[in-house]
Amino acid sequence: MEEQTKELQKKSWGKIIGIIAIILIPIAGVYAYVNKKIWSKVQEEILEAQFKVQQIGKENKNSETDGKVEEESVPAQKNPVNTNPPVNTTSTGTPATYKDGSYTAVGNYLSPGGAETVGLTLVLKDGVVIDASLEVQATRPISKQMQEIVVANFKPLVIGKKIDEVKLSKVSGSSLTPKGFNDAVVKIKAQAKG
Amino acid sequence: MEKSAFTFDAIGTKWRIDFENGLSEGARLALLAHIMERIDEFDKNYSRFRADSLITEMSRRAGIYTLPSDAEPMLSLYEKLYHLTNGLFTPLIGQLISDAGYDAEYSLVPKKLSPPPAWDDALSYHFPELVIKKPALLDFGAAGKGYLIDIVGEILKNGGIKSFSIDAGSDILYTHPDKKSFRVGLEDPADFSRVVGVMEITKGSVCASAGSRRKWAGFHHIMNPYILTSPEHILGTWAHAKTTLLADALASCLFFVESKILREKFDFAYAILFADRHLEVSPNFTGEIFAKGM
Repeated sequence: MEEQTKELQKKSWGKIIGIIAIILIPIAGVYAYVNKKIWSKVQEEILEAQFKVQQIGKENKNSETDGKVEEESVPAQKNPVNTNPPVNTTSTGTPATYKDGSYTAVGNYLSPGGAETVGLTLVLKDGVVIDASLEVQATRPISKQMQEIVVANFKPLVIGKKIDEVKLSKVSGSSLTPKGFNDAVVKIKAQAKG
Repeated sequence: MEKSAFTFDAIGTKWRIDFENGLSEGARLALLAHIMERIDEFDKNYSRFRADSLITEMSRRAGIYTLPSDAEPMLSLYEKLYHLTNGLFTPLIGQLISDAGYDAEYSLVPKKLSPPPAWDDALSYHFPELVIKKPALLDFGAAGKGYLIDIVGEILKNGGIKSFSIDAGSDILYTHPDKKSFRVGLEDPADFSRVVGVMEITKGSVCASAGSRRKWAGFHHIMNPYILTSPEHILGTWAHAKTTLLADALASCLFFVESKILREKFDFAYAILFADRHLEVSPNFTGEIFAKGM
């Protein structure tokens, strides 16, 4: 159970770091606009940026999925060949499992003027990001300007709707994995634990 | 008219064909047999997962190959997109994906990675000939399934079926004589029980591309041939085009190049879900987006 919690936390961190990395790319992009020569150097710095993530605020245990590790699954379908079932088809999948709550991260990166930080707060509910805000923490005037541009252009976030709440003819997502692929994933996870 | 459905497994994914027809049971069975035969023929040519395929032979032996008669639309689109994306979309991606672990045995263990060769270094294409200058593992996964769906659609049309939807691993082709509205939910890559929006179409194909399922060891099945990693800044893309070949290919391309580069050359609509959870849609997107405050 403890191992599963650790893996859950690692996944949360991984997801948040991923999101932070792409928040900072526009900052780097603005720098690039200002000075194309330093683009690759800045990009390098951001990819190596160190993040400290801490969970703050109220933590809700998601009782249905608590403790479960995210698994890829092929939705079970009972499919006899050549039948006359209803036309509408829906797909079900295993929801991602992250504890509800606020996550704050501080990103460190090196601007051409020196070290800077930017703050990011994400709110997760039912494993979906429902709110996010950036905090300008830069100290140097140009860095401050850059961060403010990113904050101003922060786009509205999607919040998924449950499939059974939406009238649909089909659902389109990444292809279902072949059984062989899924079996290989399970085998490797088992090896990793052993 | 009766509503029928075929469901079966093929090319590593689940297929479902819904269609209206006035056929006898025997005629339906014959149609299904024809479709599955045609799919197997396609797989035997283009799959890198079969030891007996043309693709596997090309990965072992250089030489001049005569391509199957159906290769032209697919190869010429790959060539066009290769140049349009400066090589980011390439059929030569096979060795890289395989070395990363997604190989014919599903070892899922990364080996040493190297960038694929440039098109002109490895191939020379003048239909029906494909010259393999040095053995290369080709992969048509980015658009091959889409093309095959179009082929199956033609079989249905030739069989007198005027109203159908084909869903192969959630790449979809739809046609209806009355152009009835067809609503395609855009599956949330972070939560398969949710959709981030709906694409509403009256005909054509919707294809998705996302790294949400085939993931292993820090990779997913979409790979950047220059930096040898899987893109992380985009969670999923959807393209709506007249053919499934095109929708499938463009959904992959959207991971690598800006949509406006593709919009200059092709007629399509799209939605892109970025890692920061904002959804960008094309000006001609028809449907709904489920976003905060909307």
